[in-house]
Amino acid sequence: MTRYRVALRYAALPLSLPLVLPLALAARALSAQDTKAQAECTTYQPAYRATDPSALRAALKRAAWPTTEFDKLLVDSGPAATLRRVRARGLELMSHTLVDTAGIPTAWVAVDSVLQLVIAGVEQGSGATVRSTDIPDMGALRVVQPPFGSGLLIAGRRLAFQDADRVSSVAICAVASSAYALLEFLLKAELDRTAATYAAIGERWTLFASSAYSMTWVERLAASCRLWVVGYVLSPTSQCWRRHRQQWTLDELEPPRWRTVFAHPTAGFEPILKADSAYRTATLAEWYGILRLDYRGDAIRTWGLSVATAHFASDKYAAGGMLHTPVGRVGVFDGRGGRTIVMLSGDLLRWSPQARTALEGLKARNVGAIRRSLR
Amino acid sequence: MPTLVYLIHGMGCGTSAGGSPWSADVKQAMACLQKSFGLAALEWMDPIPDTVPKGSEKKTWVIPVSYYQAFDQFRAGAVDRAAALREVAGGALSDARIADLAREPFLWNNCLDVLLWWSDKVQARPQATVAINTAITAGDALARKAGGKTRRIVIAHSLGTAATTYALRYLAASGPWQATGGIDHFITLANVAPFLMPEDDVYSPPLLPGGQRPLVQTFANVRQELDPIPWLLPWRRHASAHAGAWAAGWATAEDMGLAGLVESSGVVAPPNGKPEITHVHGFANYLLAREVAPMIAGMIRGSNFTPTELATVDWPAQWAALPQLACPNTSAMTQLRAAMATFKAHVAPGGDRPEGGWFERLLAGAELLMAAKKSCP
Repeated sequence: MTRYRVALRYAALPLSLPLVLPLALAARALSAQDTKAQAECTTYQPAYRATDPSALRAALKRAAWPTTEFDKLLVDSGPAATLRRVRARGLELMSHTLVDTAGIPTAWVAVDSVLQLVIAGVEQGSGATVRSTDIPDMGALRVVQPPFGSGLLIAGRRLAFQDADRVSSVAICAVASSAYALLEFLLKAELDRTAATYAAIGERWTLFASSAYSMTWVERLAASCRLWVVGYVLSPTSQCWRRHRQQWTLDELEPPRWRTVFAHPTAGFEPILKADSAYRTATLAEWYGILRLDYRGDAIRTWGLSVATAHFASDKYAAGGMLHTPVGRVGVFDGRGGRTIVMLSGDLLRWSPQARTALEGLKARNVGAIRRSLR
Repeated sequence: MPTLVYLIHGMGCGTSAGGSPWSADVKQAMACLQKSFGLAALEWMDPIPDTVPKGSEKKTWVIPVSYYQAFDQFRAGAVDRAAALREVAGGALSDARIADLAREPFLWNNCLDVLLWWSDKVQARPQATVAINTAITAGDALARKAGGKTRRIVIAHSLGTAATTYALRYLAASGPWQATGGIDHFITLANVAPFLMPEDDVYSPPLLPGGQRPLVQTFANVRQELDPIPWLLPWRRHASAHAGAWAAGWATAEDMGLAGLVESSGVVAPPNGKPEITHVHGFANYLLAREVAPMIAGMIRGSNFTPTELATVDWPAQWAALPQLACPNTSAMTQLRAAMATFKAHVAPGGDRPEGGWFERLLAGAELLMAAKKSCP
């Protein structure tokens, strides 16, 4: 049976070839052309065919400026005038290419109206420098390739690349792309500043994680503080009390500049300087306190105070307080018989080998390079 | 004029458990896509260099973004795992669950990341956010030095989908990024963002393609048929119908072809790799999937592949030639399929759409994969 099926298939092949082949070839050519035309848009390099009229070829070339020209254009004319030239060249191009098929004119009107809005925004804006707040919505000029659809979208309009209107579609793309690339170029300084800001915050986090006074998990987890004071959200860290719902501002991503210390264990030693012993050790518990962290270049300067107790091996304890300074921590406790005990303290939680290994891993790999690249 | 592809990892990518870096498999998968679809050569930017590498202007820049360091710090510092977990999870986890998490390396190295990102809003989450946005903005700044127009594609996997959704909201709040509408494509593989974040934060503009001043121009969500992770709370899984006030906007985006869901199937590894059944949730497996690879290749190229081109590339045949799972038709797969059907059919207690309970389900999902691995080692 299988043998007959195969035979039948081979017999049908020569019969169907004359019908199928031209169709397949045409479809293949059209698909390839569509793809090429789309690629011209998205790569911002519209091509012109030898058969295109010379006026059209010249107009396409003018409308699709390479970004290397932007510096000179802006110096010569300023941002608003340069954008107006983009539009003028677009209008000239469209006068050569506009065809009345498949919504091409409406697509151009949509692009042009966004372009006009942007130009008006830039003209009313801050003069020689363009800021993102001057621009109403340049994203509408972005050429979007819908992954679940055909053609391209610009200013909310779909552009197909059928042979009849291929040049028009490419032209609209070229103008939108050109304008978008110019606008992105105009915002270069602002975009670079955002990158530098993120890199700086990243460095401060590295610093915080590697050098700031350690945090216990009770101190660190915002939710846990709710357990301690019923009906009132007490903050263990600045992030907690500042806002509970994100406002999506950059300061929310900063490492803490203020933080509280809560039930924080550490170790201390009291210099004695007697013949039989150089120091006496104690476990310190900081019950509550507040710290101010200043990020200065490669260092954090920490100032703060906390209420603490010192617990000695002899089961005795003394109440007092801790002073945090940029050079170290000093505890002052009320000893027996009115004696004042002064203790120096380290950061116990940072002493464990595991913690030290982990902190090494925390050093952000890219931050140094990013900083250098932005200089 | 480089095209930028940012790859953002998911859970369990830390280095505390040893092994090769998370990006090794993904790098192989990307190289396989580049070769198979005839894409521009890849420039692997890990770390991001100081200057534009020579001759890279017309290449595709691939930037792997790591943010696991904060989680590794916790793991390394947690000498007593159970005690540390009690502090993190508070009353949210039963003692038995805490014991499981502390004892089982797979859970400790994977699920803990999600719990930490979700709970530690003071340090781990902002650090992760800053790491992601630093990489995106720095890669972009370097691309501007290369000149020309830049296209940006963000591909996030698993926990990375939530971390990136969160990070992109901050990026959109910075004026120039919102103005430029700068992310051409945002692809989420095994999206968990709706389980870890409020509805508004996941779906509202500027993350709504075609919405008001969108930062993200197009959005694709990919689910593997046997991956339980995107099904933690089925009633909250990423879908336009679950977008609350933004449901209509997402439906419009889907109609316009700007947003959509891709269901993938099968398990393969990049050339010379060895697939495991747990790779139904693997980053590389998602990238290489028959249903996903052509879409991503089209995005990287800048124009979708036409049916004719796809026929020439014949990705299904190339996919079939990749290292395949050793037990594709055994009882292990049948068991996993049955377990997944039950997992997906999970109904919320009381019939409501509660936000809680996702971590218990994450552990259940991970255990489901571990059981499958035992049957298909």
